[in-house]
Amino acid sequence: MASVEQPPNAATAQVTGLPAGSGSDLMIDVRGLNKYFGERHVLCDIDFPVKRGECVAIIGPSGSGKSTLIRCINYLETPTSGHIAIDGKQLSSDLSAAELSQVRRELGMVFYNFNLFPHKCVLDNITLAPIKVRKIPRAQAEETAHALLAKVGLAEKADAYPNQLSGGQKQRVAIARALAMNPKALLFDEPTSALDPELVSEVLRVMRALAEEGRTMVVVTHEMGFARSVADRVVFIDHGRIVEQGDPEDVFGHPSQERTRAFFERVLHPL
Amino acid sequence: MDQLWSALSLQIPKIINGALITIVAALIGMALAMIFAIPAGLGRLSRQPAIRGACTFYVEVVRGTPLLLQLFIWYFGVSIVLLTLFNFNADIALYNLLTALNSNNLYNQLPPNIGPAIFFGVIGIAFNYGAYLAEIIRAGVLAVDQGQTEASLTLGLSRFQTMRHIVLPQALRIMIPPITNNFITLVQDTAFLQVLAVPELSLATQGIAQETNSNLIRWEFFVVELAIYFIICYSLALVSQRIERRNASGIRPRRGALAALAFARRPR
Repeated sequence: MASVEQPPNAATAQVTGLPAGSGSDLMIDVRGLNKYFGERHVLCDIDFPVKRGECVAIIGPSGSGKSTLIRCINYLETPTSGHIAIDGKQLSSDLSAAELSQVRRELGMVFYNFNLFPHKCVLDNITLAPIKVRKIPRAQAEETAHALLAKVGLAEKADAYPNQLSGGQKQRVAIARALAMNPKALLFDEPTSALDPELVSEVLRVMRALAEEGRTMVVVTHEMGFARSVADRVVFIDHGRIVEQGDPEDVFGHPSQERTRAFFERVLHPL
Repeated sequence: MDQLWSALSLQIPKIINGALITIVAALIGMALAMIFAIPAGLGRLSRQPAIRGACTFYVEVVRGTPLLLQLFIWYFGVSIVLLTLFNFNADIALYNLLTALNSNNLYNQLPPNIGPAIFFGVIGIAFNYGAYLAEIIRAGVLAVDQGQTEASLTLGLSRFQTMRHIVLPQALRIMIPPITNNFITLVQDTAFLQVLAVPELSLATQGIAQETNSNLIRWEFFVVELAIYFIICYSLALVSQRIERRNASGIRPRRGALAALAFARRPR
């Protein structure tokens, strides 16, 4: 983790209830995860470990359960059964709200529809959680926020309101907001799927920079270029099961499963 | 015209007194109604079935029965029960309240023994409006996108902080027009207090009008009454417009939110 470049002045990861840098090298450990929506079995026996500093891309057809998986990791969806641990801390529905919040603040989440707070300016969007949750003094939180905005290329937008920004700018603010909590891992739920095509790359470039810093990232995406060139590992999910996973070059170059091959065929050569 | 003015100038103190009672009753009623409405509205969204059930019971019973009848229950029922069980004197309570609000003059102008009627009448109106306002609060909270709550929770904010900093500020902006609507009808419904013999604006005007023996002048008193009600209600509308404009930064309510709120409006 020594190579990870911390945002300036960000509070060092000191959180009660979470063993700081516990022995295991797994940041996220999902085992035997099952999720039903009513009768529908959307996730079947998913094993999904993510190592410290690893960037994992999850790909697959829509409705395959990718987003549900990533939403189970921070308990936005409650798994029907299975085991989830974040940096050694077990999650379960028995956790109190306070304990759950302590785990969630360590997992930054970026949504496909941004979910910026429309009644707050960009700066307040970013500083809200550090001030209210981490109890960082406002001046320090704002300094960090300005540094993060510079990092995502939006230094001059601190006072703007979300509805004055383009989609790509909104998503970069959302990334800065997640980074402001100095999380141990970042979860991206189709971060570019709501963007106009010409705005996609500005967001992907920011994400690539984060991956190169060595941040732990799980990215649900339809951007095959990103999955192939940035991710350390690609996971292909279909019908709630992990069909194939591995090094991006292997998975993209020589998919071993027929379903994976068919998916790439449709996605990479739609005509 | 001269006749009207001379008649009016004689009666103007009574009308002003009535208008003051109406205004004070309405303002206290609004504040009290919100105090009933906020816990009831949020309570209906609670994950605790007992809390949800109690709040739903309150809203449904109050909405499902006439205001007039509720006022009688408060005045002839609750007030007597409180008096006999706890020796609670509403007259003294009203005196203390108006003293605290710096409106002692108003108390001194009231007819004798009217305290309990005003006290329980205003509570009755507030209790009634609290149920309608609770539904507006509930609808307003539901109209805020679920993604806002998710984003806030994933940042580590508690449910309470999420409500306080993220959901309610956005919900409030959506709620202002229907709340204003209800406040305006609340002002007009203070006229119901006349069934408990409270000399508010309507009753005061009627009394004066009945004493007049000129038909020509009688209806003009009602025009004056009408103008006073309009001034009060229109001022409320202006205040709400200002609040709306001040809170306008950045937010656009989700489409369909206002349609959902139409159900929460008090039917007249």
